[in-house]
Amino acid sequence: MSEDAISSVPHEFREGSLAVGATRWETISRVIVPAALSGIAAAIILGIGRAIGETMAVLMVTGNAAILPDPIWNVLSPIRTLTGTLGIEMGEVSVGGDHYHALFGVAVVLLIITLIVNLSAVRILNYLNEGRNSRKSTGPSFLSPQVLDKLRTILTWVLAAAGAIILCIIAPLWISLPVIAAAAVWYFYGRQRITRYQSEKIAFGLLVTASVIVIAILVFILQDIVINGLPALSWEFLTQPPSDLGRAGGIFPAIIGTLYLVCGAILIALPIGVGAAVYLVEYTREGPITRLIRTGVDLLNGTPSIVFGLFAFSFIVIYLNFGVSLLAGQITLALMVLPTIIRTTEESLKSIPQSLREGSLALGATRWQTIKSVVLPPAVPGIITGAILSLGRAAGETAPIMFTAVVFSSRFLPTSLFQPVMALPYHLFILATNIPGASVNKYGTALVLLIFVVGIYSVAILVRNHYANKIRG
Amino acid sequence: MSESIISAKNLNLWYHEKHALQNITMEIEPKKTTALIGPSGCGKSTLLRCFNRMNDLINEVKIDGEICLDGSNILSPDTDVVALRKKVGMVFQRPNPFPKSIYENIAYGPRVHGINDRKELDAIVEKSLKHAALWDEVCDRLHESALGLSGGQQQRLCIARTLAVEPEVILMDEPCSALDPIATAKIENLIEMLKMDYTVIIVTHNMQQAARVSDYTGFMYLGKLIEYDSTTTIFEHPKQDLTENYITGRFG
Amino acid sequence: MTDKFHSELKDLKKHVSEMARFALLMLKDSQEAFLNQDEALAAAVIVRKDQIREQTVSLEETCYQLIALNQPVAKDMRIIACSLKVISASERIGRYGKSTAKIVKEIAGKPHIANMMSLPLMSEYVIAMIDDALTAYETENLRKIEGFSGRDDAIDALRHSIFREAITYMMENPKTITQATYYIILARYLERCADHACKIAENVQYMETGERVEIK
Repeated sequence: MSEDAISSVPHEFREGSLAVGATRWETISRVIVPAALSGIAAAIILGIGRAIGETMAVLMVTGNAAILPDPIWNVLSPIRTLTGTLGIEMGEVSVGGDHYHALFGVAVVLLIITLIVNLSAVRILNYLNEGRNSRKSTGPSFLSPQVLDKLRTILTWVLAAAGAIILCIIAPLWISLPVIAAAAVWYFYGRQRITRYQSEKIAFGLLVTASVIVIAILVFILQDIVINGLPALSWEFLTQPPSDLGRAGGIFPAIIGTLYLVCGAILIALPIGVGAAVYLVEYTREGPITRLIRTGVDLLNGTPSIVFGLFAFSFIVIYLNFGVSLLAGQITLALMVLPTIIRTTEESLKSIPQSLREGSLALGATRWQTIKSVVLPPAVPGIITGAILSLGRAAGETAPIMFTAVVFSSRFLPTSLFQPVMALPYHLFILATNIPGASVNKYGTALVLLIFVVGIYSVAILVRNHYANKIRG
Repeated sequence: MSESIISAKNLNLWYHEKHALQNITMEIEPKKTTALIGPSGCGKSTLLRCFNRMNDLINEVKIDGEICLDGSNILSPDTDVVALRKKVGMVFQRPNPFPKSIYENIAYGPRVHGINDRKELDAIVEKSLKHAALWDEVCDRLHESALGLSGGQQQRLCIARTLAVEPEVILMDEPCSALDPIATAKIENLIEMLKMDYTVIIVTHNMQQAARVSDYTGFMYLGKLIEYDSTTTIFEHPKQDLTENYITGRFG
Repeated sequence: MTDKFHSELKDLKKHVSEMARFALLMLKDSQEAFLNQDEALAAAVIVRKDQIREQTVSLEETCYQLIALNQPVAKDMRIIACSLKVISASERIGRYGKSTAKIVKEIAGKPHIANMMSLPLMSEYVIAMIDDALTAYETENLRKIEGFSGRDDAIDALRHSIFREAITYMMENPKTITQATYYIILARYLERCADHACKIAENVQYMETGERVEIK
């Protein structure tokens, strides 16, 4: 997302800065990044929201001990998260009891936190965008620039001091002291002494390091899964049901189950999502109602997946009495990917220039005819890309289907929508946390899931590039 | 012609396979305005962008030949491009102020070149805005966003931004093509005044503009420099038939 | 520059040429009226003066409009500049025709003296010069005006000779004073017309090559 934000900065800014005699690093740090700040902030906030709502990963590694770390900054102590609580305890409650209601309380707290994060994100983004584009002052107008300058210097010092203190607290002294010393040296001594070209080289070195770290992490994860999972792959693994509690046999029902869940989810979500997006973009004017709908969609997008699972469990499984079933899982997943589909469809529709619509309406076409023949066709690649990306996401989700659709072991494929299914991510979760000695198979499952999701994302990227090239001509 | 400040010698440029500039040789007179005219695609903007090495930003470009600024060839690999661009400034076709305040836009150049003292920057901002005939219109809103200015004001802001780093040469790539006639007239007046202290090279589609503002005019066609002479000669009795046909509108 | 402008430019040249030929005809007719002492012809020439004035004004107006609306450059501009000069020179030539016709009325009835001295020859030469200058203007070809300097000298020589001859006659016979004086005046008119022809030639040269020359 940050990459998108940075590449959408008009190249005229870059040229204008270079033409004045700035180095590339100065252009990047002083013009391009500040101009892309709102997009980068959005990316960061989205990342924070995603981290808050993550269930499965934290469940598997934090230890789930419901304690406060002692002392409070001990980063090596086990902890439990709100999402983890829901994930673990949901399967063990009796409906209607105190524990049941308490869990819903936890979900409410989680929702409120998400709400706060999203709303503050919207406010921050609006503030950043306004400061950029409007005629208003870029600073409080009652303060003269000199005073603002002094304030800025004081603020920087305060932040630096706070950062140093925090560093000393959370890291052992043998790390934090050298870091502080290096920062001090650079600030007082190095800033004047190193030339613009040297600081450019240093900055680029750090950027390359960051990229290398990102790639290294990816490679590390991939090689772990591939190396350990490859031995498990065989024709039998892919076509046979599991036996011996999953330690032997195959994962065929899980593969089929995932496919059923995912296709069903898309079939439900696509028409509703595209319809809602078309309505929002084409038929309504910007006003308080549409803003409300958009905020709702954003909140839905930011809601942790486990909360969807909880809701689906209590409403679809219990109240509507569908039981733990394929249909329940499909509906849950559909609800989860709905905001993404609405968002991507909206963006695709908005990217169609208004002049196309005006041209069609000027010829006497109705609004629906315009949408059907002029607006939707060029928007289709974007919609498809969004749908495929949602497919990939739905395929990998565990939390929403944990209590609504899946069962660990079934020898036969489901014959009706109301029967539970196996699914790859859930299978992997159980193998990893509950079944000792299933090492080879669990890596095999992980590898199959990885290939599945990567395959789906690759198709989405190919589709997007193909149509992007067609447009560029 | 007196000692030239910037000159091209046997300049050739290929863009992909296309021979976009063919053996261009011309000497630009110092403290005068030189205009480059010609039909679309003749290479005039490409030539202009060679003078401050902005063509480096495009990957598929190959250059051969010499461009001399104050005696040294700026196309050689060990040229300090950043310092070059301080000496040779550029104003673009569409005004491109940064999304910062007016003050910050102009202070950007001096800041990256090392000037950080507030008072010095204030003086530079005022001087540049006065030089660009914009001071009176914005002196009371220096800290407002530059994007709130009109198109003509934004273009003058970009000129002020270029002036703030004290260049010797100012390159202008169709600076008025996005502006209305009144804003255009203001910019043309500005160019008249800038001539006293800077060397100006302007690319323009508008032949009357070239006739109005320039002292020397070069006519380019399909990558070649067809004729390069004083503006009065070009517009009163050009030597080449091609030039005559272009400026009287018999083709192009 | 649009096609519209270029076709308007062609029309301008055509009309200017027509007007110049009209003025030349005024001069020719006035010379013929003098030769044959034809009062009727002289009267007809005098009437045409208003027409020539009208044409001058309207053609100059056309030129100014073309400049204001089209900002012409190079050859186009030089054509219009030359045409303005041709218009004004032709108007003067036409007026000399009218003035000659007026003189014809004055000396009507009196017989010619001294075979009109060299006036018929001079008028033939001058009319030829104007004709060549106009042809050069119309065809944009400089061949016809190549020997103009020499021809202008010849005209000057003729005027001097007519002057001396007239003085001689006046000294010999005071009764011829009126007639001879008019002959001197007519010679002067013809010399001025030749000068205007030279002016036209100079401007045609500028129109063609951009060079400013002087024909002495």
